[in-house]
Amino acid sequence: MSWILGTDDLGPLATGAAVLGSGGAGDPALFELLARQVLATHGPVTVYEHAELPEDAILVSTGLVGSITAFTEKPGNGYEFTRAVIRLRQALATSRPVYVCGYETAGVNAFLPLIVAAQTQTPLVDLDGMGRGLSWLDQTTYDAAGIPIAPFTLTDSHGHTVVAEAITGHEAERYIRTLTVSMGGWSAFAGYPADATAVGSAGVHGALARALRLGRNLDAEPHRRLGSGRVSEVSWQPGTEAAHGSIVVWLGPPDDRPLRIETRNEFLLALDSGRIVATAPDIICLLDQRTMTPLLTERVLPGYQVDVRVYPAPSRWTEPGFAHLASPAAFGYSWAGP
Amino acid sequence: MNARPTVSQLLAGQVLEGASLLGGAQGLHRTVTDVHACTPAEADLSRFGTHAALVLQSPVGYQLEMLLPRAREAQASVLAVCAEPAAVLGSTRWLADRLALPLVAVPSAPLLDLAQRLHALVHGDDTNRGLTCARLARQLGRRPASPAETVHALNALLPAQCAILSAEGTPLAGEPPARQLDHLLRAAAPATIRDEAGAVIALPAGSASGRLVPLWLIAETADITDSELNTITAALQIAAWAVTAWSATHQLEAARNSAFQASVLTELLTAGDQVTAHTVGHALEAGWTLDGWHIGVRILPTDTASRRSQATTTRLRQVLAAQRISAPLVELGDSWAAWLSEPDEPAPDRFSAVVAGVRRSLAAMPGAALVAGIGKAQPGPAGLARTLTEAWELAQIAGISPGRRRVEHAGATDPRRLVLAVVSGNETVRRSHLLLGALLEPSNNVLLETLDTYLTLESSASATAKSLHVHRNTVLKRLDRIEQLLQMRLDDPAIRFALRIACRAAR
Repeated sequence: MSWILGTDDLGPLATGAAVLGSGGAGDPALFELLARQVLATHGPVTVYEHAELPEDAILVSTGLVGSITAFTEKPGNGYEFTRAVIRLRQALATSRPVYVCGYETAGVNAFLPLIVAAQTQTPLVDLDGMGRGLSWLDQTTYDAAGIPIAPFTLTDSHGHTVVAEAITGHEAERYIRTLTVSMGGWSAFAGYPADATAVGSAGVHGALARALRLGRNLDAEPHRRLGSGRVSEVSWQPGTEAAHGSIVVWLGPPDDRPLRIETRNEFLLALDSGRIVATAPDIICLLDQRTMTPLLTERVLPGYQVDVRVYPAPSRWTEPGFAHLASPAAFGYSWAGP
Repeated sequence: MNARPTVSQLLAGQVLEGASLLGGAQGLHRTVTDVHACTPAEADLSRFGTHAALVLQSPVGYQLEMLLPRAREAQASVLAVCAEPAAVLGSTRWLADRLALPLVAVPSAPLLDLAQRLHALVHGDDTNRGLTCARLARQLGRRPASPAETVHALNALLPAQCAILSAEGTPLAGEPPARQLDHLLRAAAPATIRDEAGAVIALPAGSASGRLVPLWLIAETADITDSELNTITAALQIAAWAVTAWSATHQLEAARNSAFQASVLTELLTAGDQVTAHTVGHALEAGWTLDGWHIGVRILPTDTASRRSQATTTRLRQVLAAQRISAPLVELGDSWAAWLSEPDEPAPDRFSAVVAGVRRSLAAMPGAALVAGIGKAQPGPAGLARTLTEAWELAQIAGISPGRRRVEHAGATDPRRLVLAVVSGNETVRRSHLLLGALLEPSNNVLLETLDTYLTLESSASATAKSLHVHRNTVLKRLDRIEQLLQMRLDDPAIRFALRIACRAAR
């Protein structure tokens, strides 16, 4: 059933999107403000479930690619994402109804399809290609299912637009990262145009609703609690492409032992006494105990009192044919034994 | 098995100088038996065996942390990582502490270099021992080394004073050990004694006959480590083979020579005045001088325990040489024949010196009940036979019991020789046969030997029992039986005297 997403939902959505970000996908605060302004101007957005779409519908996914830090330092006007979707619709030159959705319902990217839908009055579908925060654009369930990313568009705040055709997977990721550097460190993306049926059988359903639900109540769904304690060490490996780091949380009584978290943009591994107790694609989340808000990997500092939780992975990532793209090995982690 | 270093000892050594112990101090006492370079991806750590030191090249933090429980499960003794200590997080250190598995960071150490140096440290004892044994084997292996050469090689290679002793403890080579080793040598088994004063390692060697150990290799040292002890033991085992080879070769040669010499001497003794050129040739081949004057010496055992053996012959040759009696010594039956050859007739004082030398020689063998007879100097090949025959007759009347002389010689025993001549006469022999009667039957040999021994040992039943290795009651029963057979009483001194002569003549 479709539902209405209004300005009152934006606060909880920011919290829930940060939970799904698993320490990555950026701080949504600025995008929450942007969305609040857009929704104030254009009114609330109706969110559709995939089952409600007409058979001939085409879905396009949108979001930010590149550095969220760069966006924070050099913010856009908020219309870049809408222009990317419009340019993609032009490139598609189709008379079929076009719906918009996200490729990553986590962190900042949870807000961008919402802004586009409000500005273009295009229906928003609660469907995406990750269902959680992940590092690479080609790390989507769409890629796993063979849905091509192209044609896709990239726009920047200066009005530059790049339309790419006939490029897929890892090559597309490489081009996008190179172009994004030239476009100021970040760009608005619209891509993965596909039939609603194909996207429906490949995408992650209901991540927006899940984010909202968790944002309103962090205990709204079953999860594992690995413990609470004080962050005692944070170590970053210099020179790595993703933010490779290790965090030690000294669990308080009665556990009274260290818990080690490994990060590469997101929290990806948790080790207790040398044994793995949680891995991606499950969503490892460090909550600041003072505010009960999720922490980004780069904002975890020694002395923070945190709650370490593990929320279940979107079920799509546990299915054969999909799991390999979000497993620890996909991030370069390897170890001997179980 | 060599002593292996503990983790503490490794840390104190030069190889791990500058290394930091990050955790697991409770496991520092563990021994390290082997060293392996490995990666965190190693699937089966148990293949490295227990008590191993595992060396890793800058492992990624989480991999190191995950390796720790697996290494502990595989009973590794220590993990050494080529990494800066700061790169290892507190959770890893805590886990090393909890598992009591020492975790050591060695900054800027190339993996293989570190592993190789640790390996040399752990297996250094094996290497040293192997090198020492190889050097010793090279020195002893070219030909059967003599005891002196063996001891020389051992002393040069080992941190110990080595010697080769006879079964009785007499040094054949090397300095006699400072300690009393009688109890050790009697045990006839390898032994090691370690105490505050140092250590003694004793290893039997040589080709043993029965349960007797012919030779002993002894190493004695003031202070010693376990490693040195192992090296010394291993080297002695190699030397034992060399000594055994020498002993066996020596014995074979001696046996071959002994048989040849006995044959040539028998030819000489039986030739009388008719010594053939053939016999002279054989004598020359044996290295003997038949020309000139000869003083014959015959040495006899007086009991079964002192019967001729290779060891006794060797010892006899040594003690005679020590008295400067450089005479050929030939094994003949159960006895020995020796003679001194000189170009001119020996002066009386020369003869006396030989007698004194033989007497001292026998005294130097307290464990062997040997007596000797020394014949008058005689010239030429026939003279050699005559002096040896005379020596044999004199040796017959020599004895070790009270009232008898251990060495009888032609220079001072004329009255005795008269008696000897009487008891050896044909008429005496004939009468003796009549007197002894039934005792001369082969089935009564034991009784005749008992009677002869009893009378020789001054009619002492106890001494007879001891000499014949039987119980005194057995001797008494046999004497009863002898009295019955001869129908004479042995408590009559006149009867005893007559029987003594008869027994002597009946030999």
